[in-house]
This record gives sequence, C-alpha cells and structure tokens, in this order.
Amino acid sequence: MFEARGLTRRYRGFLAVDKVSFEIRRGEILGYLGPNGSGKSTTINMVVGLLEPSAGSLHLDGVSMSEDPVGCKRRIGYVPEEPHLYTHLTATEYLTLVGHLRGLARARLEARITRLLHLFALFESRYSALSAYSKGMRQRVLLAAALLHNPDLLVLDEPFSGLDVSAGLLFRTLLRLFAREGRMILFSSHRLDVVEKVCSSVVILHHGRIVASTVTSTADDTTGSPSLEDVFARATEQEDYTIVAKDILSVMQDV
Amino acid sequence: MSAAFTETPVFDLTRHFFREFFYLRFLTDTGADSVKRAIIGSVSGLLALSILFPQFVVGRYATMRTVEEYRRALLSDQLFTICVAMFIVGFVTALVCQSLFPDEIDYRVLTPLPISRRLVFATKLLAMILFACIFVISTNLIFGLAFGAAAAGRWAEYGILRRMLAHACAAGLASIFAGASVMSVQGLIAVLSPRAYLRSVSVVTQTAMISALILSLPAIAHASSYAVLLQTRAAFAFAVPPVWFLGLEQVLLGRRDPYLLQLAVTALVGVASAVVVIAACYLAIYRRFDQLVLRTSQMPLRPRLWPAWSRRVCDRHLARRAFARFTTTTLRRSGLHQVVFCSLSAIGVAVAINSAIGFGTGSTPRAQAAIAWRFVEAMLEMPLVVFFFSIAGVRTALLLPLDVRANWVFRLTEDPATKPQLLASIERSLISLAIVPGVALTFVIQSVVLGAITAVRAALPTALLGLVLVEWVLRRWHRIPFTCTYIPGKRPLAHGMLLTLAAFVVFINIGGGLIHFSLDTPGRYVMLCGVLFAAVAVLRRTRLARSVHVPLEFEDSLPDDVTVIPF
Repeated sequence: MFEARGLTRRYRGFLAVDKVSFEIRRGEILGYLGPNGSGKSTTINMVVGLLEPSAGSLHLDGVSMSEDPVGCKRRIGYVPEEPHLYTHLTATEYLTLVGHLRGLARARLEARITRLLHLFALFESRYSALSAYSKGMRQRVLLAAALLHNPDLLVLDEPFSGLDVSAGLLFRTLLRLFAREGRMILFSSHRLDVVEKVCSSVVILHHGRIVASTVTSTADDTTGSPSLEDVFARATEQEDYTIVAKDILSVMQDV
Repeated sequence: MSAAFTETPVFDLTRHFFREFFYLRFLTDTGADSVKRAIIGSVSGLLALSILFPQFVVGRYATMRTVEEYRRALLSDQLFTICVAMFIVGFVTALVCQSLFPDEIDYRVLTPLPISRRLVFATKLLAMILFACIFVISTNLIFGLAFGAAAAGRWAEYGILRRMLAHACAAGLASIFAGASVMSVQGLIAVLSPRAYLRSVSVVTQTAMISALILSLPAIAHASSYAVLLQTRAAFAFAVPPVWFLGLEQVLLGRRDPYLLQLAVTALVGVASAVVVIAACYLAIYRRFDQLVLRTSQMPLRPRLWPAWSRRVCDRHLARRAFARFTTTTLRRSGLHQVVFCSLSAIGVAVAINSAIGFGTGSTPRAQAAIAWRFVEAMLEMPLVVFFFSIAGVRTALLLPLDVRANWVFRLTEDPATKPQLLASIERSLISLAIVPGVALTFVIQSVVLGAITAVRAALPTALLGLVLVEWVLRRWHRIPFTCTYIPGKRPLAHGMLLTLAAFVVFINIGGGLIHFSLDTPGRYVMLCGVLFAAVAVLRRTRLARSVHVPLEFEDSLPDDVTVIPF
C-alpha cells in the first residue's frame, strides 16, 4: 500500500499543498483531480522524490520514503506531465540509459526494450532522434521508460496527452490489467471522462487541499452527485462557463 | 524612429531575429545575466585597450629612421590589421552560422501568421547582416580608420584621408569576405548535404571552421612576416586571402603595379563570389524551406563493435556505462558542446604551436645554448599547454546544460551507490578526450624534433602531470554532465582571469621545468614520477572519500560569500 500522510509543501510562504493525505491499495487506481494550480503536480513531484515535502510523510508498503528514498524510487515508475526528454537520443538509447540507471542487466534490458518498442509501435522509429518524434510518440517512450523496471507504483501525470485514440484505448486497458496484477497507480489528469473510466477511486484537490473523494465504480461520492463532472464542479467551485464564454466572445468582437 | 516604421512586420521580425542572436536558450535567467555581465566586462576591457592602440601605432611610427624601414613596417602592420579584422568577423559569423536561416520554431510559429515566407527570410537575412555589421564596423573603426590615421610619422607618403579610406576599405572588404565565406560554406552544406545528415554535417563543419580559425591565430600573430610575399611578388600570395586585400589597399593608395592589380582583382572576385554563393544558397533554401526545416533526424545504424563477453563485463558497471554513453553521445550530437570543447582545445593547440615557433638563432655560443635549452623546454611544455586548455574545454562542455527540464530522469534514479561510477565515468571522459589526444599529438611532434627516446621518457611524467590536473579540476565535482543549471562567471572577470593565468603559468612553467630537469638523470626521473604518482593517488583518494557525503547537484548556485566594495 502507498500512503501520503499530511503532505505539505510551501514555496516562500505560499502553501502549494496543505496536509494532503490519501492512500492507494494494491490493485487500486487512484485518480488525482484538480484545476490548474491546485497542487497536483507538486504532490506528484513529492511522491516521486523530485521535491522534498515541507511536512508530512510518504510510505510505500510501510517503508518511509524519507528513510529509504533510493529503495522506494526503485519501485516507482513515473510519466511526467510534459514530455521532457533528452531529444538528441534515439528511443533505444533513451530507454537503455533509463534501464542502466535502474540497474537492469544488459541482456534482459535489450530484449525488454525491443519488445516494448514493438508493442508501443515505436520500433520503426527506433533510430530516429526523439526530437523528430510527435508528442504522442514521446509520450509512448515515457510510458515505456516508466514500465521498463516493472514498478510497484506507477505515477502518471497527464499520461494521455498527445496520444491518439487507439493508443489511448491500449493504455487504458494496460492500466487496468497492471492494477489487476496487484500494483498501484496514481493517475493525475484533467480529463474527467478518462479518470471516470480508468480509476477505481478519485480525490479532488483545490487550493492545495483535498476537497472531495469518491469511488467511481459505485458513484458513491461525498456530495451525492452521480457524475464525476458534477462532483468536480461543486468541489472546486467552478464558475458558470456560459458567462465566461460570452465574455470571451464579447472581447473578440470589441474593436 | 517613426511609429509607422516601428509598427511594421519588417521592424518587428528583424528585431525579433536580431535579439535571438543574443538569447542563450541553454542557460537559466541567472546564468544568462551572468554571461551578459561577463560580455560587458570583456567588451569594456577591449574598448579600453583599443583606445591605446592608435597611441601605440603613433609612437611606433614616430621612431622610424628610414623610409625603407617605414614602408616595411607599414606593409606588415597593414597585413596584420587586415588579418585581425578578418579573424574577428569570421569567428563571430562562425559562432552564429547555424542561425543563418529561419529554424523549425520560426517555421511553426510564423507560417500560420498572415506574413509571407519572403518576409521571414528577408528579415532573418537583414538581422544577420545587422549583427555582422556591428562587428565589421567596430573592427574597422579600430583596425581600419584608426590605424590608417595613426600610421603616419615623418615618412608618410600619402594624405591622412587617403590612408584611412584605403585601409578601412581593404580591411572592411576583407572582413566581409571572411564573414561571407563562412556563411557560404554553411549555405552550401544546407543545400547539398543529404537531409538525414544535414544537422550533423552542419554542426561538424561549424566546429571545424571555429577550430580552424582559432588554429590560425599563431599565423595571424606572425602575419607581419608574410608581407614579404608582396615585396617578392610571390605567386603563393594568391593562396593567402589577407594578402589579396593588402594588394587591394596598395592599389587604392595609387600604386599601379600589375601584380598588385591582379591581387586586387582577386580580392574583389573573392568577395563577389562569396556573396553570390550566399544569395544562391538562400534562394535554394527559400524554395525548399519546409523540406529542410521539417527534415527527419534519422540516425545511421551503427554496427556492434564489441564482443558479447565484453558486454557481460560492462554489466558490472551499468551506471558508469550509462553515464559514459550519455556523455559521449551528447558531445557527438550537440553542436554547442562540441563547439565549446573543440574551440578551447584548439586554443590550446594554437598556444602550444605559438610557444614552439619564433625562436631566433643566437649570435654567441652562450646565447645559442640558452635558446636551445628554452626550445627543448617549450617542446616539453607543449602537451601541458594542450592539457590545460583541453581539460578546460571538456569541463566547460560537461558543465553546460542540455535541457535542464529533462534531468528529472536522473533525479528519479539518483542513487548514492552509483556516485563513484559517475565520477569514474567523468574522470575517463577527461582522460580520453584531453590527456590521451594531448599525449598522442605531442608525442609525435616531440619524437620528430627531440628524438624518440626523449619523447618516450617525457611521456610518463607528462601524462602524470595531466592526471594531477584532472584530479585538481574534479576535486569539487558533484554533478551529472549536462544536467545541472549553470551560472558562468561567478567570480569577477578580472579575478577569474588572473586566477586562470596564475594557474596556467604555475602548471606549465613548473611542470615543463620539472620534466626537463628530470630527463637527464635517472634518479631525478624516478623521483619525479614517484612524487607525481603519489600526488595523483592521494588527490584521487581524498576526492572519492569526500564525494560520498555530498549529494548530486542539479541547481547551480552563486557563491555564498559576498564581495563587499569598500566605500
């Protein structure tokens, strides 16, 4: 089980994440929702060890991440929000680099990379630099890199951005099967429809705090609304979009 | 400037492209500010020196005793200033020649806007010309007009205005020729090289041109001696472009010698040819812009060179292998890193060559012996000079970030247990890129000049001194190459330059002296090698022991201590 307890992060007086607590059981896919600037990416960065929490703790199967950061990181796979890659490398070179840094032996790594490149439809482009890849292709490379070492916890920050329909469907199925094997997935996204279909439970973040949590399969949420969209709109105090849309149109027509 | 002009797309785009020449994408804001400070400091220093230049010239020509002496000196100085103007403009153009044409970002951002491709290309070219003009004009103010006015004295044969205009015209055209030649080479590569190899060929050519220009510095330093080509009417002069422009200057001054006229025509044809080639390349690229910009970056397949057992051995050091491959691949493919490494290494080779030439022949046996001694020492110092600059080149290249936002993969997989492997891979990079080529290159030269036995004997202490320098450079190294933000010029410019100069003098003079001193006596030789070996071992051990407790750096920071200016 993965646990976040009272997770807090301050940036020079600004409270980005405020006492956030959640847990992911084995076999569970936890959706992590929130509007822009709500603290989703900050939480994700703390979970994967890119940021130090100002307060609170993270535990992976009872092991504190602050006590054994390297051991915990070895069991985590991560897909960041933006496909920041070393674009002068080819897909094979990038995956080999990640594999070696993860300590995977060469022979096993080579076979695994070849199979993953085939399955992610990247094999034909394996000798192209990543700079020549589309956003969807780069996203697939990141997913392959995150799965390379067979992680226990998969942390995904907007993993479907740039993916085409078939790749999106493949990954949705892959995530479900991955969780069914007893792994854990933390799934951060803006796409409510995808979260509703993929995740078994959801927490909603607003202004750095958890404002709602719901179990998607039974639609049993804290506000009593049947749709995740309604839960999200209420929990995050969304504006009336019709008024905003009309305002935008009036700005466009104002000469 | 009228608002009507400043609000036109021509003005906006030209300004945008012009500013791009000064935008250092690979640095953070703090790093870019630091570079700006360093550039302002350097330019101020150069301007201060340039004020002294005319005074120096006036003083030099005032002491000339005969008209012949004046003519010889004038011809030599004219050639030297033409060479310097050509070097500065050629070097700056080579630095920015990758920006000769609009790039992929320009294409993607500007193409959907209601502006024509012609406008994009024209403004890019205009920005490039304006950028080059800054250097053409500033170098010609100092080395053209100011020199033309100052090179007078009592033997002056022409009026001041004529001298100034003739020299400014010759030096100006020479610098335009240098800049245009660099641009035309880059243009020809863009047009003629296969699409798959365009980027790599372009980067390699840029690096080669910059390195060649730096390697020409010793020749420029001795340029005054080539003025004799003009006096002897040598046919070889037609192979030396600066001499063409020297011939042009003589024609502009009023000399009608057929040989000089021929040189002047060659100079004008050279400038015209370079401009025509640039125009043709620009037109060709303009026509197939989208094909060139949106090219594929297919890498050639590389055959496996290592047998399977060697890969099994390498599996014991996976992290080291990963760091090493990442380093070599980046150095091979990143133009910026290649240019930095090769330029600094080329400076080393140029300084080494310069220090080994120009020894006179003494008139007395004692003077001859002193010169011979000094010459042997210069030959023994040669590899140390190459080490000093090559190591600085590798170090700077490894410090420069590639894409800081992509370093999350290293932060995610950071493991204190692999840090020794990281340090070992960096140590190997320094040795294989700086020490080994330095020893190999200078060993050949030393073998030819000093004899094979001396070269073999000098090789061991030379290599050990190189390793001492490697250890010294790595003593506070706690970062993965290319992954950490970088703030250059943390120290004040003068402070940094003085420290570098002091380190250079100490390392080269003491190192070279020790090798020379030990070569003739086996006892001294063994003692020197033993001491150096022990120094390498102690420095290495201390460094590795200390590094285990220090975490890896991903963010560069300014020094904590604040320099207080007393008032």
